[in-house]
Amino acid sequence: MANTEFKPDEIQGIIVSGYAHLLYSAYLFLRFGEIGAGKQWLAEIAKETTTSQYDKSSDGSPLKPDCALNIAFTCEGVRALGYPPDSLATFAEEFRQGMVEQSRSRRLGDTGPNAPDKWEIGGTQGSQDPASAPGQIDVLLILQSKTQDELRAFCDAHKERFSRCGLIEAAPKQVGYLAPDGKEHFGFTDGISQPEIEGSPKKTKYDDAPIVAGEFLLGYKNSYGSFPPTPTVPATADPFNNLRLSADEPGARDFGENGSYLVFRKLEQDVAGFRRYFRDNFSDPTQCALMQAKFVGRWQDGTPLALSPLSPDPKLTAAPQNNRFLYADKDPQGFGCPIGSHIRRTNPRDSVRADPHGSLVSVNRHRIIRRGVSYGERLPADTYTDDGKPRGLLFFCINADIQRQFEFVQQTWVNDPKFHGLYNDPDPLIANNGARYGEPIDPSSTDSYNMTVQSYPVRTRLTGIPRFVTVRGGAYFFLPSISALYFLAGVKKHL
Amino acid sequence: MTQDEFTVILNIKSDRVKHVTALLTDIGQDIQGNKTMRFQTTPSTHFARWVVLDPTASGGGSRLLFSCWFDGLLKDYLAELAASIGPGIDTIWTNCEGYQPGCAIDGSNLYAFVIQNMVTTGFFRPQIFLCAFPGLTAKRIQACARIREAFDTLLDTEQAQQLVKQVAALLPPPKPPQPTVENPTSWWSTFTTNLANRLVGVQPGYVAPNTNVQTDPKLLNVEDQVTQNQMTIISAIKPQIIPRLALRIALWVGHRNQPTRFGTLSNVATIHLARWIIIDNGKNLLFESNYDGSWESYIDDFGDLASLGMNVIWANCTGFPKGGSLDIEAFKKVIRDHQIPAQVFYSAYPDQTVANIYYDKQITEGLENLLNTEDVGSFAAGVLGSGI
Repeated sequence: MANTEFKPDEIQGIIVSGYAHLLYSAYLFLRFGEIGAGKQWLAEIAKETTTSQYDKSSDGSPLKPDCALNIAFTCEGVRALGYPPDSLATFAEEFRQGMVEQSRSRRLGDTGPNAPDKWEIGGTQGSQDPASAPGQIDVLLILQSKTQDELRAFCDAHKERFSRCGLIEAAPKQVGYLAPDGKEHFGFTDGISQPEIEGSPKKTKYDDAPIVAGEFLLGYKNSYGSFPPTPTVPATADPFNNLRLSADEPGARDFGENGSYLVFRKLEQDVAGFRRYFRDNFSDPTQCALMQAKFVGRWQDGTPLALSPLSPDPKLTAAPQNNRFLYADKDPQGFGCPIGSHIRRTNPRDSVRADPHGSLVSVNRHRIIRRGVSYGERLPADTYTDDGKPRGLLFFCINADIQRQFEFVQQTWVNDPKFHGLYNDPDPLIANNGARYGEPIDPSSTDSYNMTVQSYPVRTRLTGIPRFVTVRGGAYFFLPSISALYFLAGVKKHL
Repeated sequence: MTQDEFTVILNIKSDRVKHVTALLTDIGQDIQGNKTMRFQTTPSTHFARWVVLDPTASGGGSRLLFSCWFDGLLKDYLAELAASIGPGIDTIWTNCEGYQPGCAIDGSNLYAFVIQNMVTTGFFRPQIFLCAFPGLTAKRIQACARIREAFDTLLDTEQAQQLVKQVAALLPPPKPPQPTVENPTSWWSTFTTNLANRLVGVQPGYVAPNTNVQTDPKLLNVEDQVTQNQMTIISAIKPQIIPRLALRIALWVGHRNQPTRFGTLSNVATIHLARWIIIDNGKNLLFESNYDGSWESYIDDFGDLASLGMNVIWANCTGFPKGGSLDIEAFKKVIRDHQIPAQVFYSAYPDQTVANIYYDKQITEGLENLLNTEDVGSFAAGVLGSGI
C-alpha cells in the first residue's frame, strides 16, 4: 500500500524544507552504547523530531519552527537497534555497504587525496570494514537554530541527554551555516537549482514541472511510475503496529514508507588556491571573472551563463528567472555555458540526448534535493594565501535511490572525463584532480585533467586543472518516518 | 576491412577450475603489463574477454568462454594470435577438455580447433551482431586518436588559434544545430509495439513489487577500471515452442534492421559492439557487449532508447520481468542476476568512447586531404597540379 498524498506529520522536516530561516546547523555523529538506554533516548527524540507538518498561527498561515531536529541512521545504527538481521537485506545495497566500499570509492572519485582512509568522518582509517572502523557511526543528529547562541545551547542540552543514555560522539561534531548573502566559499550564490516535489506542501518557486515525490520519498510513485524499493520487517517484529502492512509482501510491514536516504559528504574548499589559479592564469579581472563563471556555469551573483553569457544580469539573479532555462534552444553547443561546467553536468537538463524532451525525462531520473551548508569562516576578500583554516561545504542530499540518483550524478556526470563527448574533462570545480594549485601532484594520483571552454571559431582548452575540492568525510544514512523511529525505539507511537 | 567475432566455450577439467580462474584473474588485473597474454601485440584485436562460467543449474561443470572481436578474416586473425599470444592461449586452454596441448601455437591448428569449437550461427540459429564502426580497424582507431591528440595540442598554441580565426572570418557563419525532435508516435508504431510486446508476453506498466537489486561483488570489482566496460550475460531460453520461435524472429529482424548512422547502435551512442547469439544447442542465449561509462547509464539507455528491443529478445528467456525493461528495478535485477564477471577484459582503445572515436575519425579525414597524393597531389608535400 502506498500513498497518493503527502503525510506531512510522518515525514521528517529536512526532506521537505531547507529551513532557510534556521541559519545555523550542527551535525552530531553518534554511536550507541548500551542499547536499552539508546532506545529510551530514541523514544524521546522521536517525539521531538521536526516533521514537515507546520503549526498554524492564529491567522491560519503556517508557523515556521524556531529550531529543527532531524535524525538519520547508518546501516550499523539500524542493526544496533535490533532491526531483524534477515530483513537488513531489504535496504538498498549501497546503504548496506556504505560509502566507503572499494568499488564505490572508485566510482565516487574517492581515491588518492579523497580516499576514505584519510577522512575525518565516516572513513576507514586503515580498516576496509566500516563496522570495525574506529569511527563507526550509528546515528546522525541534525540540529538547526536561528542563532549561534541558540544552536550552542541546543547542542549542549542534547549532548547532556545522549551522554546520559550511553551514546558517544563517534566523529567530530560539524557546525555549518547558511551565509546571509547566499554565497559559498568560492564566492558564488549556491543552492539555486533545487527540484520541486510534486504534492509537497511547500510552495513552488519555479513553474517548470515538479519532480514526482517517489524520487525523494519511499512509498510514493517515482519517475518510472513505480514505488521505490523499500525496507520491510516481518510483522511479528512490530508488536506495537507502528508500521503499515506492506501491500506487496504478505506478513511484512513497511519500514521505509515516508522515509528517504540521506547522503553526507564533507567537501573542503581550497579558496586561496582557487583565487590564485584564476589570478595567475587570467591577468585581466574581467577575463578572470568570466573564466570563473565558465567553470561554474553561472556568474557569481547566480546569473545563468546560458541566458547571459557576456555579463551578469541583475534581472536574472532571483527566482524563478535564475533557474528558468534549458540548453537545447539557448545554448546547444556550450558557447555560453560550457558543456563541462559544474552546473551543466550536475543537471544537464535537456542536453544529454539528441532529443531535448527525452533528455529532460532521462535527466529528471537523476535529481537530488540538496541540503548543504558552509563550514569554516570565509577567507577575507583579496586574500590569496591560505590561512590554514579549514572551510568548505557540508554537502547533504536526499534521494529515494542513492545508486540511481546521487551516485549516478557523481559517477556519470561529475567525474566522467568523457561526459557529453568530451575527451578528458571531469567537473572543473569538484572533480578528483591531481594536486592543489601550486602543490606537487599527490603520488597516489597522477591524473591531469582539462577544462574545455567552447567558443566559435576556436575553443580554449585549459590543461592540468588543479584540485579545488577535497573530500574529508562521508556516509550514507536512512531518514526514517516518525512511525519508523518509534518502531526502532521499540515503543508505541504516541498519537 | 570487416570486423568479426568468434566465441569458444570449453569445459574446464574439474580439477583445474581454481587454477585457471587464478591464472586469468592475474592476467586481467595487469592487462597491459602481464607476460602471459599481451593482446596489445595483436594489432587486429579490438576487444577480447575470458570468462569463467560457473556450473549451470541444469548440470555440467565450469566452462570457459573466450571471445575476440577483430579485423579481417578469421583465418588470418588466428594466425596472428597463434604467432603472438599462442603460448598464452595454450597455457589457459591446456586446462580444458578436448584441447590438444600445443594446438594454439600453430595458426592452422588453432584455426581448425576454433572452427570446430566455436559458437556458430545458421538459419535456425540467427544472431544479432551490432558494431558502431563497421570497417574501421583497431589500428586506424588508435592512429586517429593520436592524430586528434596532436591536433588538439597544436590548437592550444596562439599561432594555430589565430589561423583558425582568420579562416573563420573568411567563411560564412555556421548555422546553429537544430535539436532533433522525436516524431510523434504514430498509431502504427504504437500498434506494432503493443503487438510485439504481447507476442512475447510483456505487459508494459506492470511493476514487480519491491524488487531489491543485489550485485555480485565480483562484478563491481572489475567494473569501471577504464572508460569502457564489458557485459556478458547468459540466460536460459524458455523451452516452449513459441518463445523459441519468437526469439529467432526477434534476432533475425533485429539483425537486418540495424541503424545505419555511423557511430550509433540503435540510437545508443555509447555502445561499441553488441551481440546476441544462441548457444548450447539452443538452450541458452549469450549476450556480449562493450559500452562506455557507468552501468547505471547503460541501463538508462536500454530503457530509454531500446526498450522494445530488450523486450522482444529477452522476454523469451526465463526470469525476464513481466513488465519488460521499463519495470526498471526488475530489469536491473535480471541483468545483475545473469551478468557474469569477466576475468580478462582487453580493449585496444580502453579510454576511447564511441563519441571520441567518431570525432577522431572526422578530424583525421580532414587532415588527410592535406596529404592526399592520389588525385591532385599532396598540398603538404608540395606535389601539386599533377591531376588537374
